[in-house]
Amino acid sequence: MSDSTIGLVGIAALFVLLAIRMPVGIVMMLIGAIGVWAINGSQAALATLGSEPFVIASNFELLIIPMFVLMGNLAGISGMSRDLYGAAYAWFGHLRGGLACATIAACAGFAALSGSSVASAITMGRVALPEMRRYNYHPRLATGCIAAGGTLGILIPPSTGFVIYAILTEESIGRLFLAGVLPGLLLTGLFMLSIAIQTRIKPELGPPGPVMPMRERFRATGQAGAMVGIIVVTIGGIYTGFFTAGEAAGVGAFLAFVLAVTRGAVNRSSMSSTLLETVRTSAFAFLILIGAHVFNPFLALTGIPGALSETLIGTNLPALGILVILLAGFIVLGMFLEGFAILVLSLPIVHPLILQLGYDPIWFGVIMVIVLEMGLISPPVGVNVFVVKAIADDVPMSEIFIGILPFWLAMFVCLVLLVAFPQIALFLPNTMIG
Amino acid sequence: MQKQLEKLSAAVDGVVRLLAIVSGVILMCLMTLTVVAVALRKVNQPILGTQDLSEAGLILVVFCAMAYSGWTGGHIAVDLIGTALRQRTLELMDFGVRLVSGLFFAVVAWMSVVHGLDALEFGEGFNLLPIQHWPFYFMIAFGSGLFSLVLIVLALRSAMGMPEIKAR
Repeated sequence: MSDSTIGLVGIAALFVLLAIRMPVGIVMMLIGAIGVWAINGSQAALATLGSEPFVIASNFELLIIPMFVLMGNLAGISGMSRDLYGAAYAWFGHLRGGLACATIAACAGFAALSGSSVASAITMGRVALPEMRRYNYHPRLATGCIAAGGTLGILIPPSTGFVIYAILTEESIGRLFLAGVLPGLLLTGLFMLSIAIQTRIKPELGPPGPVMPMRERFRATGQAGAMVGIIVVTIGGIYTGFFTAGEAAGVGAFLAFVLAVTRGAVNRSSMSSTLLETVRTSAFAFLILIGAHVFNPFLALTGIPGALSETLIGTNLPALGILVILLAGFIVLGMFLEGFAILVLSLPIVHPLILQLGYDPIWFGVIMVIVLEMGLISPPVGVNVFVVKAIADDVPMSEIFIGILPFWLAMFVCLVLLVAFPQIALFLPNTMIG
Repeated sequence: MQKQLEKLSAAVDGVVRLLAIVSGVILMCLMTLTVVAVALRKVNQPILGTQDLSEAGLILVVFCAMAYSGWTGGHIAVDLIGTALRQRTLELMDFGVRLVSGLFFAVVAWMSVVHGLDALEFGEGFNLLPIQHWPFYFMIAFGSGLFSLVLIVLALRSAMGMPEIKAR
């Protein structure tokens, strides 16, 4: 059997095992090890299994993952999500669709503290959904904006998606984080525009809330000041080169901890559940990374990534045409596969191709993360949709998916804008200091 | 048999949760170390070997929590056919998947022991501090072994139609 045939059998087996619910990280390790065994013998395969867990778990750069997860979880228990929503509510709540806009703004703010879309959707959903219901928001708009707003978690830094992309492609985590800022703000604006259009067409979707006096607005904004301070320190620290992205994560987590302590939110029970949730999420991310580092060398040995690149380039399609084919493929895959699985499975094939086509890998990282976000809210396995369903269990899934559609289109517009104007993503990293 | 499995599950639950808390406490220590290291570096008093300590600590954080993550369903899987199959078929499928995964992680644990013994023989260590690698290979072996046990216990629970474990 030729190496490429072994590779194709391996990829087919990988999809079968994924379909029968084997965890993504274990599937990649298992297929990678068996594949290396088939091509290079048992010694090579067993050596990989013995060394890769150590290599990945002792990678200093990856300390950023548990630190930022911890920061997000501490922000959750300290009530910062409520402050954020309160501030956004005070400014936008009286507008038509204003509470939905406040939810999106608060999601964007929380995304700057948390690298997880699911965490953002759960945290903001619990705060925002009862308010939108109180003001008779249509469940379609209420659930749709929470599911979509939550996806900002992996675009606006810190982002676990960017960390995994950076590790697999050996790009700078700091540059990727900064590249996510402006597209994150652009997408936030597009989500709000989508709400404005929806409520203009159907005002009953989001009736206006009460008008807050100006003093109340500033008071609410002031309450969210501590959170803004943490964001400025972490992202500003990376931008100015004051510290590395990993150090920013540690400092950010520490500040979130101090804030949680000063607010009396830290007790034995809250701290234990915060730590358990943090290490649980981190361990899953590491298992996927270990799996990717066992699987990717196997894929490289088969020669499939190179052959695929040559085939695509041999079609003589323009670079943009190939990019559109890739993105369309990712959007379809996003409907069936979990986002991180797509990232780790496709990058070894796609990254060399992107470099060959002359595209900027930092820019492409942002593009990929937005496509993953689209997957998070695409039927039938959009994770964020299930999260929102868990919070709003009386709203049918079909209703949530209909509510999500305008936001999905906003993401598509964002993707088109980023392809047309790559500087939206590259401006900040190109002006980064240090 | 079911009663014995419940007893075993309770014991596994206690151990993996305790280790996960240890993992979290180590993470808090690493957080503090990072802040202190940044602060001291800014006043030209850098702590020697911060990176070594962080790398060693990260191994403990990850592998003390690996089994807990598996026990509470934290390791993501793709659920494409879950709604299309009967409950019993799903349980039997989960039994097979978890058993294979558990046996595979037993191999990972064993290979970590082999690498640990090599590291001990050749005196491998971190860059700046005189910390040897071998205890950390053994920690990976322990964490992987416990993860293997967790997967096998979960496989047996699936086979017997017992409920999934939830994170508390």
